[in-house]
Amino acid sequence: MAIEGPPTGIKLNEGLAWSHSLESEYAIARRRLVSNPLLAIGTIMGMPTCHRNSESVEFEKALPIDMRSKFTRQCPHCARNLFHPVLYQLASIERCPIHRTPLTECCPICNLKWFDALRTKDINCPQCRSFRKRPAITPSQV
Amino acid sequence: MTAHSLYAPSAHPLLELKAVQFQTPAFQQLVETLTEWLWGGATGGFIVGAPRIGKSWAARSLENRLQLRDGRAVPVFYMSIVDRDNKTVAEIPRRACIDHQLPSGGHLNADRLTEQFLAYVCDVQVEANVRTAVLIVDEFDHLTPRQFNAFAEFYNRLDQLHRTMMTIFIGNTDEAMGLLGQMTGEKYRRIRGRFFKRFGEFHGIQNRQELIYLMNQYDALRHPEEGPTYTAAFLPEAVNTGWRLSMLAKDLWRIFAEIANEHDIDSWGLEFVTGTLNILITDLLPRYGWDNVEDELLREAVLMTHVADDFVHALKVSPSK
Repeated sequence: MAIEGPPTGIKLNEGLAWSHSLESEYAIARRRLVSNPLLAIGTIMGMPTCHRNSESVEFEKALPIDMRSKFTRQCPHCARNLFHPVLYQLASIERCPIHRTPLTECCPICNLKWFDALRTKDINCPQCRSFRKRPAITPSQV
Repeated sequence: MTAHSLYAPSAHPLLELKAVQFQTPAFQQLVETLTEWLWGGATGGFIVGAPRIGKSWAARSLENRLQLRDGRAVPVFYMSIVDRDNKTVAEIPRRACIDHQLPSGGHLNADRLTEQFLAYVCDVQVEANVRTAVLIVDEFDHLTPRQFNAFAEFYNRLDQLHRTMMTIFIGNTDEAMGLLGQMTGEKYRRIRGRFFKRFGEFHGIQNRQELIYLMNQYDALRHPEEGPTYTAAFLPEAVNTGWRLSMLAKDLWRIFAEIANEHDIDSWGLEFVTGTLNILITDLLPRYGWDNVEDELLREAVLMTHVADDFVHALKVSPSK
Protein backbone atom coordinates (compact mmCIF):
# COMPACT_ATOMS: atom_id res chain seq x y z
CA MET A 1 0.00 0.00 0.00
CA ALA A 2 1.07 3.58 -0.44
CA ILE A 3 3.42 4.83 2.23
CA GLU A 4 4.22 8.26 3.56
CA GLY A 5 7.23 9.44 1.62
CA PRO A 6 9.68 12.17 2.42
CA PRO A 7 9.64 15.10 2.37
CA THR A 8 6.18 16.34 1.45
CA GLY A 9 4.05 13.81 3.27
CA ILE A 10 2.22 12.80 0.12
CA LYS A 11 1.59 9.12 -0.41
CA LEU A 12 3.84 7.05 -2.61
CA ASN A 13 2.68 3.87 -4.27
CA GLU A 14 4.46 0.57 -3.79
CA GLY A 15 3.21 -1.16 -6.93
CA LEU A 16 2.23 -4.23 -4.95
CA ALA A 17 0.25 -5.63 -7.85
CA TRP A 18 3.60 -6.42 -9.44
CA SER A 19 5.37 -7.76 -6.37
CA HIS A 20 6.29 -11.43 -6.37
CA SER A 21 8.12 -13.90 -4.23
CA LEU A 22 11.93 -13.81 -4.38
CA GLU A 23 11.78 -10.39 -6.04
CA SER A 24 15.05 -8.49 -6.24
CA GLU A 25 15.79 -4.93 -5.22
CA TYR A 26 15.81 -4.11 -8.89
CA ALA A 27 12.29 -5.49 -9.24
CA ILE A 28 11.14 -3.42 -6.27
CA ALA A 29 12.68 -0.26 -7.71
CA ARG A 30 11.07 -0.96 -11.06
CA ARG A 31 7.57 -1.50 -9.70
CA ARG A 32 7.85 1.64 -7.63
CA LEU A 33 8.93 3.59 -10.66
CA VAL A 34 6.05 2.29 -12.73
CA SER A 35 3.47 2.91 -10.03
CA ASN A 36 4.60 6.47 -9.31
CA PRO A 37 4.73 8.09 -12.74
CA LEU A 38 4.27 11.55 -11.24
CA LEU A 39 7.32 11.45 -9.01
CA ALA A 40 10.97 12.28 -9.62
CA ILE A 41 13.32 9.31 -9.83
CA GLY A 42 15.32 10.58 -6.86
CA THR A 43 12.24 10.61 -4.65
CA ILE A 44 11.34 7.06 -5.60
CA MET A 45 14.85 5.69 -5.20
CA GLY A 46 15.04 7.36 -1.81
CA MET A 47 12.02 5.51 -0.51
CA PRO A 48 12.81 3.20 2.39
CA THR A 49 12.65 -0.46 1.50
CA CYS A 50 9.55 -1.97 2.94
CA HIS A 51 6.89 -4.38 1.79
CA ARG A 52 9.68 -6.69 0.76
CA ASN A 53 8.90 -10.32 0.58
CA SER A 54 10.64 -12.04 3.49
CA GLU A 55 11.62 -14.95 1.24
CA SER A 56 13.50 -12.53 -1.01
CA VAL A 57 15.35 -11.02 1.92
CA GLU A 58 16.38 -14.42 3.25
CA PHE A 59 17.39 -15.66 -0.16
CA GLU A 60 19.49 -12.57 -0.83
CA LYS A 61 21.20 -12.89 2.54
CA ALA A 62 22.26 -16.36 1.53
CA LEU A 63 23.92 -15.10 -1.64
CA PRO A 64 27.66 -14.36 -1.75
CA ILE A 65 28.38 -10.68 -1.05
CA ASP A 66 29.35 -9.85 -4.64
CA MET A 67 26.02 -11.06 -5.92
CA ARG A 68 24.01 -8.64 -3.78
CA SER A 69 25.27 -5.65 -5.75
CA LYS A 70 23.09 -3.60 -8.05
CA PHE A 71 24.54 -5.41 -11.04
CA THR A 72 21.57 -6.98 -12.63
CA ARG A 73 21.00 -9.56 -15.27
CA GLN A 74 17.55 -9.75 -16.66
CA CYS A 75 15.39 -11.62 -19.11
CA PRO A 76 14.03 -9.11 -21.68
CA HIS A 77 10.65 -10.85 -21.71
CA CYS A 78 10.38 -10.82 -17.95
CA ALA A 79 11.35 -7.14 -18.02
CA ARG A 80 8.15 -6.27 -19.80
CA ASN A 81 6.23 -7.85 -16.96
CA LEU A 82 8.25 -6.17 -14.20
CA PHE A 83 9.46 -9.60 -13.14
CA HIS A 84 12.97 -10.02 -11.75
CA PRO A 85 13.79 -12.57 -9.05
CA VAL A 86 16.99 -12.52 -6.98
CA LEU A 87 17.69 -15.88 -8.59
CA TYR A 88 18.80 -14.18 -11.81
CA GLN A 89 21.88 -12.90 -9.97
CA LEU A 90 23.28 -16.41 -9.78
CA ALA A 91 26.03 -16.83 -12.37
CA SER A 92 25.05 -20.42 -12.92
CA ILE A 93 21.74 -19.35 -14.38
CA GLU A 94 22.34 -18.29 -17.95
CA ARG A 95 18.88 -18.48 -19.39
CA CYS A 96 15.48 -17.43 -18.19
CA PRO A 97 13.84 -20.59 -16.87
CA ILE A 98 10.47 -19.31 -18.07
CA HIS A 99 11.22 -17.95 -21.55
CA ARG A 100 14.45 -19.86 -22.26
CA THR A 101 16.08 -16.65 -23.49
CA PRO A 102 19.62 -15.64 -22.40
CA LEU A 103 19.81 -13.26 -19.47
CA THR A 104 21.33 -9.95 -20.55
CA GLU A 105 23.12 -7.15 -18.75
CA CYS A 106 21.57 -4.42 -20.86
CA CYS A 107 18.13 -3.66 -22.18
CA PRO A 108 18.11 -4.79 -25.84
CA ILE A 109 16.12 -1.72 -26.86
CA CYS A 110 17.79 1.23 -25.14
CA ASN A 111 21.12 -0.53 -24.50
CA LEU A 112 21.33 0.85 -20.97
CA LYS A 113 22.27 -1.44 -18.12
CA TRP A 114 19.09 -2.59 -16.48
CA PHE A 115 19.56 -0.76 -13.20
CA ASP A 116 21.04 2.32 -14.89
CA ALA A 117 17.90 2.68 -16.97
CA LEU A 118 15.92 3.16 -13.78
CA ARG A 119 18.14 6.03 -12.70
CA THR A 120 18.38 7.84 -16.01
CA LYS A 121 16.08 10.75 -16.66
CA ASP A 122 13.97 11.13 -19.78
CA ILE A 123 14.06 7.47 -20.67
CA ASN A 124 10.77 5.92 -21.65
CA CYS A 125 11.87 2.59 -22.96
CA PRO A 126 8.93 0.19 -23.30
CA GLN A 127 11.14 -2.68 -22.23
CA CYS A 128 12.78 -1.42 -19.08
CA ARG A 129 11.09 1.78 -17.97
CA SER A 130 7.73 2.58 -19.53
CA PHE A 131 4.81 3.51 -17.38
CA ARG A 132 2.47 3.71 -20.33
CA LYS A 133 2.83 0.26 -21.70
CA ARG A 134 1.56 -1.38 -18.61
CA PRO A 135 1.94 -5.13 -18.81
CA ALA A 136 -1.23 -6.89 -19.76
CA ILE A 137 -0.63 -9.63 -17.27
CA THR A 138 0.59 -9.60 -13.72
CA PRO A 139 3.81 -11.27 -12.63
CA SER A 140 1.91 -13.94 -10.78
CA GLN A 141 0.54 -15.07 -14.11
CA VAL A 142 3.91 -15.25 -15.86
CA MET B 1 -37.81 18.73 36.52
CA THR B 2 -34.45 20.25 37.12
CA ALA B 3 -33.14 23.72 36.81
CA HIS B 4 -30.31 24.26 34.39
CA SER B 5 -27.87 21.51 35.17
CA LEU B 6 -24.49 22.66 36.32
CA TYR B 7 -23.03 19.50 34.85
CA ALA B 8 -21.82 20.67 31.49
CA PRO B 9 -18.94 18.65 30.05
CA SER B 10 -16.49 20.96 28.36
CA ALA B 11 -15.23 18.35 25.90
CA HIS B 12 -17.91 16.09 24.52
CA PRO B 13 -18.49 14.76 21.00
CA LEU B 14 -21.89 16.44 20.90
CA LEU B 15 -20.23 19.82 21.40
CA GLU B 16 -17.99 19.35 18.38
CA LEU B 17 -19.23 19.75 14.85
CA LYS B 18 -19.80 16.41 13.13
CA ALA B 19 -17.73 14.55 15.71
CA VAL B 20 -20.27 11.75 15.98
CA GLN B 21 -21.41 9.55 13.15
CA PHE B 22 -24.84 8.24 14.00
CA GLN B 23 -26.28 5.25 12.21
CA THR B 24 -29.50 5.78 10.33
CA PRO B 25 -31.87 3.39 8.58
CA ALA B 26 -31.05 5.13 5.31
CA PHE B 27 -27.36 4.37 5.83
CA GLN B 28 -28.09 0.72 6.57
CA GLN B 29 -30.16 0.62 3.42
CA LEU B 30 -27.31 2.17 1.45
CA VAL B 31 -24.90 -0.50 2.69
CA GLU B 32 -27.36 -3.24 1.71
CA THR B 33 -27.95 -1.73 -1.72
CA LEU B 34 -24.25 -1.36 -2.51
CA THR B 35 -23.52 -4.85 -1.22
CA GLU B 36 -26.19 -6.23 -3.51
CA TRP B 37 -24.71 -4.35 -6.48
CA LEU B 38 -21.21 -5.50 -5.56
CA TRP B 39 -22.20 -9.11 -5.27
CA GLY B 40 -24.12 -8.85 -8.52
CA GLY B 41 -20.99 -7.72 -10.35
CA ALA B 42 -22.28 -4.26 -11.16
CA THR B 43 -19.82 -1.88 -12.78
CA GLY B 44 -21.51 1.15 -11.29
CA GLY B 45 -24.68 2.94 -10.32
CA PHE B 46 -25.94 6.19 -8.90
CA ILE B 47 -27.58 7.32 -5.70
CA VAL B 48 -29.47 10.59 -5.43
CA GLY B 49 -31.17 12.48 -2.65
CA ALA B 50 -32.16 15.93 -1.44
CA PRO B 51 -29.42 18.32 -0.28
CA ARG B 52 -28.24 18.21 3.35
CA ILE B 53 -29.75 14.85 4.20
CA GLY B 54 -26.45 13.14 4.95
CA LYS B 55 -25.43 11.58 1.62
CA SER B 56 -21.81 12.67 1.82
CA TRP B 57 -21.55 11.65 5.44
CA ALA B 58 -22.97 8.24 4.55
CA ALA B 59 -20.62 7.89 1.59
CA ARG B 60 -17.58 8.67 3.73
CA SER B 61 -18.74 6.19 6.34
CA LEU B 62 -18.75 3.24 3.96
CA GLU B 63 -15.17 2.30 4.72
CA ASN B 64 -15.00 -1.19 6.23
CA ARG B 65 -18.73 -1.65 5.68
CA LEU B 66 -18.74 -3.41 2.32
CA GLN B 67 -17.74 -7.03 2.15
CA LEU B 68 -17.53 -9.84 -0.35
CA ARG B 69 -19.57 -12.98 0.19
CA ASP B 70 -16.69 -14.60 2.04
CA GLY B 71 -16.42 -11.69 4.48
CA ARG B 72 -13.34 -10.02 3.00
CA ALA B 73 -13.58 -6.24 3.30
CA VAL B 74 -13.77 -4.33 0.04
CA PRO B 75 -11.68 -1.13 -0.10
CA VAL B 76 -13.74 2.00 -0.62
CA PHE B 77 -12.26 5.07 -2.28
CA TYR B 78 -14.00 8.40 -1.90
CA MET B 79 -13.65 11.42 -4.13
CA SER B 80 -15.68 14.57 -4.36
CA ILE B 81 -16.16 16.46 -7.61
CA VAL B 82 -15.72 20.20 -7.43
CA ASP B 83 -17.03 22.78 -9.84
CA ARG B 84 -14.30 24.20 -12.08
CA ASP B 85 -14.38 26.54 -15.07
CA ASN B 86 -12.26 24.12 -17.08
CA LYS B 87 -14.06 20.79 -17.03
CA THR B 88 -11.54 18.50 -18.67
CA VAL B 89 -11.33 14.72 -18.53
CA ALA B 90 -7.89 15.09 -16.91
CA GLU B 91 -9.54 16.91 -14.03
CA ILE B 92 -11.04 13.59 -12.87
CA PRO B 93 -7.83 11.63 -12.23
CA ARG B 94 -6.31 14.83 -10.84
CA ARG B 95 -9.18 15.13 -8.36
CA ALA B 96 -8.84 11.44 -7.52
CA CYS B 97 -5.14 11.97 -6.74
CA ILE B 98 -5.81 15.09 -4.68
CA ASP B 99 -8.53 13.42 -2.64
CA HIS B 100 -6.22 10.50 -1.83
CA GLN B 101 -3.18 12.64 -1.00
CA LEU B 102 -1.31 11.39 -4.03
CA PRO B 103 0.98 13.63 -6.09
CA SER B 104 -1.04 15.75 -8.52
CA GLY B 105 1.21 18.49 -9.93
CA GLY B 106 -0.32 21.15 -12.13
CA HIS B 107 0.97 20.33 -15.62
CA LEU B 108 0.81 16.53 -15.47
CA ASN B 109 -1.17 14.72 -18.11
CA ALA B 110 -4.20 12.52 -17.67
CA ASP B 111 -2.34 9.28 -18.43
CA ARG B 112 0.14 9.76 -15.62
CA LEU B 113 -2.48 10.96 -13.17
CA THR B 114 -4.61 7.93 -13.99
CA GLU B 115 -1.67 5.56 -13.54
CA GLN B 116 -0.75 7.13 -10.22
CA PHE B 117 -4.28 6.76 -8.89
CA LEU B 118 -4.82 3.24 -10.21
CA ALA B 119 -1.48 2.03 -8.86
CA TYR B 120 -2.71 3.25 -5.48
CA VAL B 121 -5.99 1.38 -5.94
CA CYS B 122 -4.04 -1.78 -6.81
CA ASP B 123 -1.83 -1.37 -3.74
CA VAL B 124 -4.84 -1.15 -1.46
CA GLN B 125 -6.50 -4.11 -3.17
CA VAL B 126 -3.38 -6.25 -2.78
CA GLU B 127 -3.14 -5.38 0.90
CA ALA B 128 -6.81 -6.22 1.38
CA ASN B 129 -6.32 -9.44 -0.57
CA VAL B 130 -9.16 -8.67 -2.97
CA ARG B 131 -9.32 -7.84 -6.66
CA THR B 132 -12.19 -5.40 -6.43
CA ALA B 133 -12.92 -2.01 -4.92
CA VAL B 134 -15.62 0.64 -4.78
CA LEU B 135 -15.08 4.21 -5.92
CA ILE B 136 -17.55 6.73 -4.49
CA VAL B 137 -17.89 9.86 -6.59
CA ASP B 138 -19.67 12.47 -4.51
CA GLU B 139 -21.26 15.62 -5.97
CA PHE B 140 -21.27 13.98 -9.39
CA ASP B 141 -23.77 16.55 -10.63
CA HIS B 142 -20.75 18.84 -11.17
CA LEU B 143 -19.51 16.52 -13.93
CA THR B 144 -20.02 17.05 -17.62
CA PRO B 145 -21.14 14.07 -19.72
CA ARG B 146 -17.70 13.85 -21.33
CA GLN B 147 -15.94 13.53 -17.99
CA PHE B 148 -17.62 10.18 -17.34
CA ASN B 149 -15.16 8.73 -19.84
CA ALA B 150 -12.43 9.08 -17.22
CA PHE B 151 -14.27 6.62 -14.98
CA ALA B 152 -14.73 4.25 -17.90
CA GLU B 153 -10.98 4.42 -18.40
CA PHE B 154 -10.36 3.64 -14.73
CA TYR B 155 -12.47 0.53 -15.15
CA ASN B 156 -10.80 -0.53 -18.38
CA ARG B 157 -7.26 -0.10 -17.05
CA LEU B 158 -8.02 -2.16 -13.98
CA ASP B 159 -9.71 -4.75 -16.13
CA GLN B 160 -6.40 -5.21 -17.98
CA LEU B 161 -4.89 -6.20 -14.65
CA HIS B 162 -7.75 -8.58 -13.93
CA ARG B 163 -9.02 -6.23 -11.29
CA THR B 164 -12.25 -4.31 -11.00
CA MET B 165 -13.77 -1.25 -9.38
CA MET B 166 -17.46 -0.45 -8.99
CA THR B 167 -18.09 3.28 -9.40
CA ILE B 168 -20.95 4.81 -7.43
CA PHE B 169 -22.06 8.34 -8.26
CA ILE B 170 -23.78 10.29 -5.50
CA GLY B 171 -25.48 13.64 -6.02
CA ASN B 172 -28.40 15.96 -5.40
CA THR B 173 -31.58 14.75 -7.07
CA ASP B 174 -32.50 17.86 -9.04
CA GLU B 175 -29.05 18.64 -10.41
CA ALA B 176 -28.23 14.97 -11.02
CA MET B 177 -31.43 14.38 -12.96
CA GLY B 178 -30.62 17.44 -15.05
CA LEU B 179 -27.22 15.98 -15.90
CA LEU B 180 -28.60 12.52 -16.62
CA GLY B 181 -31.21 14.14 -18.85
CA GLN B 182 -28.37 15.39 -21.05
CA MET B 183 -27.08 11.86 -21.46
CA THR B 184 -30.06 10.17 -23.04
CA GLY B 185 -28.77 10.07 -26.63
CA GLU B 186 -27.01 7.29 -28.51
CA LYS B 187 -23.71 9.08 -27.91
CA TYR B 188 -23.76 8.20 -24.22
CA ARG B 189 -25.15 4.72 -24.50
CA ARG B 190 -21.83 3.17 -23.50
CA ILE B 191 -21.57 5.32 -20.37
CA ARG B 192 -25.19 4.66 -19.44
CA GLY B 193 -24.74 0.95 -19.87
CA ARG B 194 -21.74 0.93 -17.62
CA PHE B 195 -22.72 3.27 -14.83
CA PHE B 196 -26.43 4.03 -14.91
CA LYS B 197 -28.13 0.67 -14.94
CA ARG B 198 -28.53 0.77 -11.17
CA PHE B 199 -30.23 3.50 -9.26
CA GLY B 200 -30.96 4.19 -5.62
CA GLU B 201 -32.38 6.99 -3.50
CA PHE B 202 -31.12 8.28 -0.21
CA HIS B 203 -33.49 9.82 2.33
CA GLY B 204 -33.27 11.60 5.60
CA ILE B 205 -35.38 10.53 8.57
CA GLN B 206 -38.80 9.65 7.14
CA ASN B 207 -40.92 8.52 10.07
CA ARG B 208 -41.13 8.28 13.83
CA GLN B 209 -39.58 4.82 13.98
CA GLU B 210 -36.50 6.08 12.21
CA LEU B 211 -36.32 9.02 14.59
CA ILE B 212 -36.51 6.65 17.56
CA TYR B 213 -33.74 4.56 16.04
CA LEU B 214 -31.55 7.65 15.96
CA MET B 215 -32.56 8.95 19.40
CA ASN B 216 -31.87 5.58 20.97
CA GLN B 217 -28.23 6.07 20.03
CA TYR B 218 -28.07 9.18 22.23
CA ASP B 219 -29.38 7.01 25.06
CA ALA B 220 -26.89 4.23 24.37
CA LEU B 221 -23.61 5.72 23.14
CA ARG B 222 -21.14 6.64 25.89
CA HIS B 223 -18.33 9.12 26.21
CA PRO B 224 -15.77 8.15 27.31
CA GLU B 225 -16.30 4.47 26.61
CA GLU B 226 -17.01 3.63 30.24
CA GLY B 227 -18.57 7.01 30.98
CA PRO B 228 -22.16 8.22 30.94
CA THR B 229 -24.42 7.99 27.90
CA TYR B 230 -24.64 11.07 25.70
CA THR B 231 -27.99 11.90 27.27
CA ALA B 232 -26.75 11.30 30.80
CA ALA B 233 -23.71 13.52 30.27
CA PHE B 234 -25.95 16.57 30.01
CA LEU B 235 -29.06 15.38 31.86
CA PRO B 236 -27.73 13.15 34.66
CA GLU B 237 -30.68 13.64 37.00
CA ALA B 238 -33.19 12.90 34.29
CA VAL B 239 -31.47 9.68 33.29
CA ASN B 240 -31.21 8.63 36.96
CA THR B 241 -34.98 8.83 37.21
CA GLY B 242 -35.41 6.62 34.18
CA TRP B 243 -36.05 9.33 31.59
CA ARG B 244 -34.68 8.76 28.10
CA LEU B 245 -34.34 11.14 25.16
CA SER B 246 -36.23 8.74 22.90
CA MET B 247 -39.35 9.41 25.00
CA LEU B 248 -39.59 12.73 23.19
CA ALA B 249 -39.73 11.04 19.79
CA LYS B 250 -43.52 11.04 19.46
CA ASP B 251 -43.90 14.76 20.19
CA LEU B 252 -40.81 15.74 18.28
CA TRP B 253 -41.93 13.86 15.18
CA ARG B 254 -45.38 15.46 15.39
CA ILE B 255 -43.83 18.92 15.56
CA PHE B 256 -41.47 18.19 12.68
CA ALA B 257 -44.36 16.80 10.59
CA GLU B 258 -46.25 20.07 11.07
CA ILE B 259 -43.23 22.09 9.98
CA ALA B 260 -42.59 19.71 7.07
CA ASN B 261 -46.17 20.20 5.87
CA GLU B 262 -45.87 23.95 6.09
CA HIS B 263 -42.61 24.03 4.15
CA ASP B 264 -43.01 21.09 1.79
CA ILE B 265 -40.12 19.07 3.25
CA ASP B 266 -40.24 15.35 2.45
CA SER B 267 -37.67 14.00 4.88
CA TRP B 268 -35.65 15.26 7.82
CA GLY B 269 -32.02 15.60 6.84
CA LEU B 270 -29.52 14.05 9.20
CA GLU B 271 -27.68 17.33 9.65
CA PHE B 272 -30.90 19.01 10.82
CA VAL B 273 -32.06 16.14 13.03
CA THR B 274 -28.78 15.83 14.88
CA GLY B 275 -28.63 19.62 15.10
CA THR B 276 -32.06 19.64 16.75
CA LEU B 277 -31.25 16.77 19.13
CA ASN B 278 -27.91 18.29 20.07
CA ILE B 279 -29.48 21.64 20.89
CA LEU B 280 -32.14 19.92 22.98
CA ILE B 281 -29.68 17.82 24.94
CA THR B 282 -26.88 20.29 25.45
CA ASP B 283 -28.86 23.50 25.95
CA LEU B 284 -32.63 23.58 25.95
CA LEU B 285 -33.54 20.60 28.13
CA PRO B 286 -30.92 21.29 30.82
CA ARG B 287 -32.06 24.93 30.86
CA TYR B 288 -35.84 24.64 30.57
CA GLY B 289 -36.47 21.18 31.99
CA TRP B 290 -36.99 17.71 30.61
CA ASP B 291 -40.08 16.33 32.31
CA ASN B 292 -42.76 18.49 30.76
CA VAL B 293 -41.42 19.64 27.44
CA GLU B 294 -43.70 22.05 25.65
CA ASP B 295 -44.38 21.94 21.93
CA GLU B 296 -43.05 25.46 21.53
CA LEU B 297 -39.66 24.38 22.84
CA LEU B 298 -39.50 21.47 20.42
CA ARG B 299 -40.61 23.68 17.56
CA GLU B 300 -37.93 26.19 18.46
CA ALA B 301 -35.29 23.43 18.56
CA VAL B 302 -36.31 22.25 15.09
CA LEU B 303 -36.39 25.72 13.57
CA MET B 304 -33.09 26.75 15.14
CA THR B 305 -31.34 24.43 12.68
CA HIS B 306 -32.81 26.46 9.78
CA VAL B 307 -34.35 23.32 8.32
CA ALA B 308 -37.22 25.35 6.93
CA ASP B 309 -35.26 28.34 5.64
CA ASP B 310 -34.89 28.95 1.97
CA PHE B 311 -33.66 32.31 0.83
CA VAL B 312 -35.41 31.85 -2.51
CA HIS B 313 -38.71 32.02 -0.66
CA ALA B 314 -37.51 34.69 1.71
CA LEU B 315 -36.52 37.05 -1.09
CA LYS B 316 -39.72 36.96 -3.09
CA VAL B 317 -39.87 39.82 -5.54
CA SER B 318 -43.09 41.38 -6.61
CA PRO B 319 -43.98 40.40 -10.22
CA SER B 320 -44.69 44.03 -11.05
CA LYS B 321 -41.06 44.86 -10.43
